Amino acid sequence: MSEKSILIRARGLAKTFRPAAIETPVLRGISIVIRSGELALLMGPSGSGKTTLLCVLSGLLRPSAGEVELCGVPISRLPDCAAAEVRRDKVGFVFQSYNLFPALSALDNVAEVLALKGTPREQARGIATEALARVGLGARLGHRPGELSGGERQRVAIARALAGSPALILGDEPTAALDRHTGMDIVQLIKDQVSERCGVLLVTHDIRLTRFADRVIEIDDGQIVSDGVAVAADETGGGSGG
Amino acid sequence: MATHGIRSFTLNPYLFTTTTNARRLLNVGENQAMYYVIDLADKQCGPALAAWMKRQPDIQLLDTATWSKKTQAFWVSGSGAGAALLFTAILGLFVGGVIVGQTLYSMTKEHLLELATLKAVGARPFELAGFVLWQVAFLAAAGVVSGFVLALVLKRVLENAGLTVVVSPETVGLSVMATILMCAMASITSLVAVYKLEAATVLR
Ligand SMILES: Nc1ncnc2c1ncn2[C@@H]1O[C@H](COP(=O)(O)OP(=O)(O)OP(=O)(O)O)[C@@H](O)[C@H]1O
Ligand SMILES: [Mg+2]
Repeated sequence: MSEKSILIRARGLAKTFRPAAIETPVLRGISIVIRSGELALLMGPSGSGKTTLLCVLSGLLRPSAGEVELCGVPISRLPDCAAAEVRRDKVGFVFQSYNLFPALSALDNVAEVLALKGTPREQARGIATEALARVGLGARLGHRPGELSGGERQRVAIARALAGSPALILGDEPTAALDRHTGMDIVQLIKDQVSERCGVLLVTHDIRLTRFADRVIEIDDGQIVSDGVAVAADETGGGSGG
Repeated sequence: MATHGIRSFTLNPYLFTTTTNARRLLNVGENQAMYYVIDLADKQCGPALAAWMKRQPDIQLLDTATWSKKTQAFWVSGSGAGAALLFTAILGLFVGGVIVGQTLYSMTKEHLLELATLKAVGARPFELAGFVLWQVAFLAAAGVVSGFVLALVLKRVLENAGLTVVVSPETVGLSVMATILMCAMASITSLVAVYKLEAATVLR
């Protein structure tokens, strides 16, 4: 039997932003466990707190209450520096707007982030070349982001996220800027990374992605309203919600 | 006596001429003089002459080095020229600092999303600071090089006009140090911006 390890364990998460005097409770008592071997989608209406939850889970934001363990490390209690190190070693990010470095080639975009982890340059370039080939960009190594299509850029971003062999891949609406077909390809690529050692959590509005998901978590108004096995969406029915 | 290539500002220029001419030009009497430059035909008479002059109550005897020092002291601290130059230099450093600071800050601002991305994927603060420090090192090097090219061109031009500009190793060292210090001060705002940068903004 395959051992699925717990990648994220969050208990009683609350997050309140305090700009000036108005307190805005955004997360209200969220407990969640994400394991390796699964692709989980985080869905919910706009403003429900999905992005905020992703930030808290990855240690980019500190929760106002509750605790997050990322790969067994209590990341919510660590200082920023130490939290950054946990992210560096364990997490691969895929962003909605790709967030590539415009001055660098596709190859260097991937290799730079590996170099951050302390991988020697030559080795980093080797791994980066392999990762780019895996996402179908073997012939685009020298292209800069400006010379690539949206879908190709997101592939570079995926190569960058998975080159470091992260235990967890996090994405915030990675397909939102892409057409439907390209979006599906991208999620398939991400899905291919799921293994005994790797899990994925994606925020999305696109109901069609549920067919790739092992699990769909819905939140509304900062609370989990449903969490269960995905039911494949009707291909012909309605577009993305809002 | 013909002279050429004399430049001066704020005060009278030196004019090496006969005593009679000098008295007439300065409008001073027979028994008045400011200084004489003594050029001995026979150097052997030097010590004897010096001994005699030292005995005179109202004559001061200065050798070339002392005279040079006294003149320098007069120009640098006695007249307004030294203070004016110092003030100009300080003003230059201040204005330069503001310009470098602004340039650096706008460079940093331009790359804020990339820096936030790096922070999100786990770059350490000093690695992000490295970005700012590279930029400022580049600005400092560009400033020092262009400054020296300008100084050397000016030196050449002024030399042709009869003015000697001395660019001593001390001057070079001091201006390089002042430039580095200025750039370091100018990078503080950018470093603070990078340090305070919220990585969570990459997901917004
Ligand atoms: N830094 C902040 N300061 C104050 N309020 C914030 C901040 N960040 C987010 N919020 C608020 O938190 C709420 C949830 O925001 P969040 O971005 O998590 O929503 P979301 O579910 O990702 O929405 P969308 O689907 O539109 O991306 C919003 O009402 C937003 O205004
Ligand atoms: Mg969002």
